[in-house]
Amino acid sequence: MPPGEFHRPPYPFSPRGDFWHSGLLLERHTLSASVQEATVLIGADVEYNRIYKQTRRPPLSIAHSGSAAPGSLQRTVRVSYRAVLLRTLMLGSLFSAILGALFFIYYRAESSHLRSLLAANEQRLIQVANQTILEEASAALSDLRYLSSQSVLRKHVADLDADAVQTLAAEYKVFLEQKRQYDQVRFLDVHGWERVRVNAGADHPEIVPLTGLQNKRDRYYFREALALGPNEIYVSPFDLNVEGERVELPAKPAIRFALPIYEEGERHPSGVLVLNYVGSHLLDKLKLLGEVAKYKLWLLDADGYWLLGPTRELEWGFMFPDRRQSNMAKIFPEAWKRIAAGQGGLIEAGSQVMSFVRVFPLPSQPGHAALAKPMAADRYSWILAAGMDESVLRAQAAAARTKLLNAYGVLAAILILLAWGLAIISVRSRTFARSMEKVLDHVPAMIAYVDKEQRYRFNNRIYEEMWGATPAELYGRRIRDVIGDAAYEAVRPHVEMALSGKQASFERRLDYRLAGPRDVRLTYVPDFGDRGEVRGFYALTHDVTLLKETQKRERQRMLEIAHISRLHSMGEIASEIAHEVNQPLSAIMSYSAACLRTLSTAGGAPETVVKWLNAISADAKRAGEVIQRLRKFAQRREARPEPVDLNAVINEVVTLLRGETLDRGIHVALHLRQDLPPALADRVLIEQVISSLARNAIDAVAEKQSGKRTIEIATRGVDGSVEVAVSDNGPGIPAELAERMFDSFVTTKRDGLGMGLTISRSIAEAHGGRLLGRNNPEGGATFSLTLPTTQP
Amino acid sequence: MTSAPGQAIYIIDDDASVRDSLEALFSSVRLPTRTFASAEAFLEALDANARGCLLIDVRMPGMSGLQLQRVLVKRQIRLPVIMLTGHGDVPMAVQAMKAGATDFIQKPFSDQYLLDRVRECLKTDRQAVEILSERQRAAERIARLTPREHQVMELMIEGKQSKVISSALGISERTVDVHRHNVMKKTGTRSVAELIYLSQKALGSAD
Repeated sequence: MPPGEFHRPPYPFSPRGDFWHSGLLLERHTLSASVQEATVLIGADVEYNRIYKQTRRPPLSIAHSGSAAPGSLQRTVRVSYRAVLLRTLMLGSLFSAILGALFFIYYRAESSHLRSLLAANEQRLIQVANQTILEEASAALSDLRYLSSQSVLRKHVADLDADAVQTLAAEYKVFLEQKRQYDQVRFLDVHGWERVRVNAGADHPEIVPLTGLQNKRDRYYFREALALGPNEIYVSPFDLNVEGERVELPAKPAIRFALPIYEEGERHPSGVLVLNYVGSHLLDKLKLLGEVAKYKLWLLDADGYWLLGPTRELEWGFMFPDRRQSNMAKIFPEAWKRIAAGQGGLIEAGSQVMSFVRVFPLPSQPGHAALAKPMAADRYSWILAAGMDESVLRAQAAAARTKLLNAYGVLAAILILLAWGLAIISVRSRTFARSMEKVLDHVPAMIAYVDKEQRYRFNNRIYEEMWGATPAELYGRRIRDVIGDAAYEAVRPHVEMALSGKQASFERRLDYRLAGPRDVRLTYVPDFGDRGEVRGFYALTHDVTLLKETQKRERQRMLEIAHISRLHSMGEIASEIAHEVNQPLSAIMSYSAACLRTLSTAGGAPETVVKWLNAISADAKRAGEVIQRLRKFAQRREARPEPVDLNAVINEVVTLLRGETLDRGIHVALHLRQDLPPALADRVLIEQVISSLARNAIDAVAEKQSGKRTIEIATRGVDGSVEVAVSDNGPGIPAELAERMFDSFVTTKRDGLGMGLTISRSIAEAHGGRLLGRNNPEGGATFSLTLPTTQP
Repeated sequence: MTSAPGQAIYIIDDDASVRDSLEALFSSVRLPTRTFASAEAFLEALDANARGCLLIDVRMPGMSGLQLQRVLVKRQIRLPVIMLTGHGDVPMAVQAMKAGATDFIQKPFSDQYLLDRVRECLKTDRQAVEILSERQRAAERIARLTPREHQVMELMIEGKQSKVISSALGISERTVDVHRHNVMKKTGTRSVAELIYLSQKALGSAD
């Protein structure tokens, strides 16, 4: 379908010649039973109202709804539920999709925000954890320094006697009672023997008796510490306690802080103070932190072994030969690569994103001896990593999703309601527009709207068909360009009048490009804006060609009838005069002849009397000839008998007289026999007779001041002839006229000539028929015309 | 002698002066007249044995001249008719002549012409009366025959010999001869040819 063309049902009229002859066709259409197609648009058209009242159902389901708000459609439209449903679905899914996209974007932003929030939390957790580690480590270091600077130890370090040992043991016991984070405090001599050892014990610190003391010469912390200088502290790797070559189970994580004790001025240490830090104290704190924050908190050593890890099995891998593989470098090599290279940041381990930071638990503070073996404090490092547990992450995301989905559901429902409303509005307006278009395209009139620049802004289909233009060739074009200069000059003053705000109605004969020359009645109705300015005008054009032709024919026919009737009347008058005068003339002639003959047989009359009688005869004869010449001169029309359908003639007469009967409120009843044989008669003359009888009846009933005025015309066949009876319920035939009503110059009408019935009767007789008049028993008069039929 | 006994001129016209003047004209030539003001009045007074001729005005209130003519045809009254009209025209005249009118005369008319026409009509009527009375006489004679003689006569007219008649009727030839004799005697005929002429006269087909 080319753009701009609308789908239209097949047009009922052919585009050329005999189509849409406005007035007449409109009437024929509207009178026919099929009013569905009929006219709504010509608002002023009274026909519409009539149809509306008749059918009680507005055509095309369009009705005035009366009290619609201004601006809205002031008509009700029947919409198709299917169309509404389809449109609702369409709009609803579109809206839902847009909303879905928005929600998805929001969800993405929200989840990334959540992620960054999580990351920040991770960072905070790591910082707290880091702080905890640092605090623990620095506490341990300061505790060890405190213990190492005890005077008892200092005094007796070179030669530790039993008292000193006892004192130290007591001191250490007190110490451990307060500091539950330590497992053991020991003092080992340079040979590796434990000289004082206090265990933290389950409830109270216990001083290990002499017999319980062991030689720890081969232990790495002893040898490492012995190699240190004064004030240097050895911090062991975080590992598990080993008892007699075996990892003590349940595992006891521990960090050993060892400090060599130097005598003043000595180059070699006199012993080593060892403080066993309970690793689980730190680990439990970290664990608690993680649990409170609902984060997974990992602690790894510098080699990637978990000290605090995802599972217990993965922890402390380096302590067990068979669990060497439980190493981050092995399990999450990619993540480990990044950790090993950096000081902190984000890593992805498995399905979770973790923040990590390298922790240096041993601060090298000014004023304190640098820390120490086996590696410098700045190289003794662990790795703290925190991540949200995946299930928690998922749960959070799911919760967020659920919330969003709920919100989405509610909003989508609202949107679908909205779509439904929009669908009704749009389907309704589209349906209305379609009905409107259909109506506009089928109204047998050209309809257009022209703006003030004289450009077409709307036109119906017939407009296109009459001018043979496509919609594109009309819309936006100037009138002059579309209809041509000649036609434009014809309508121009009216166009200007309409644009000056005055309605213009006129008739023109325009030469349409496709339809040819047509007589049209045009009406231009100005369109006013809100401030009363003219914005354009509505143009309504009716084709009245056929109407005009019909009117012309009617007029010609009426003239013809009038002419014939006049001629005929003259003939009739002459004929009547002839008859009336011939009667006495013939009497005169007969009498004079009788006189002559009587005189001759009586034997001799005076010669003069005979002469005079002959003169009387001759003059009477001469008078008769004069009359004869007069008749010949006004020779009446020769009757042309042919088969005539009297019913048709009556219908025609009634139609012609309708104006008069309607004006005077006269009811005309027809009782026409459908099986009436045709009469053999001159149609024009018989029409004149019937018309004359009907007029008499109208005049008769018109005199009535009250009561119903009724004329009745009936036809019937009476053996070999047909009868037309014209009855009225008027005053009837006055008794004094009953005998003479068919005579010439007898009339009851003030301005009547008194020839109507005379002529009518002579016409009837000329056809071999009769015309009779009588009063009805129930009042009024009946005149019956009898004519021979074609079958004698 | 211009009119036979019983003959009269029946004038039917609604115009009294025309009626009276015609009556005067005919009485001046001693022709008897009877006048009627309407067709209905005439029909009422009409006697089946009336003889003469009719002068009828075409246009009358009530039954018109042409209608009266039709009624007379229907009643098999065959009196000669002259139509008179004040303004006759061709179709009306044709109609009247078709219905059997002798003439159609337009008023005013020449007295001589009317008298000539009336006399012709009376003559025609007289002849018709004669023919009718001859026919009646012939019929009366034939009516004298017995049924058997009538049968024999029919066969004689067909030219059958006595032998053929006897076998057709199943009677002896002698009896046939007796019947033949009686037929000739009763009808007053002297030959079969005369008998044929008589029977045709009786049926009205002669002349």
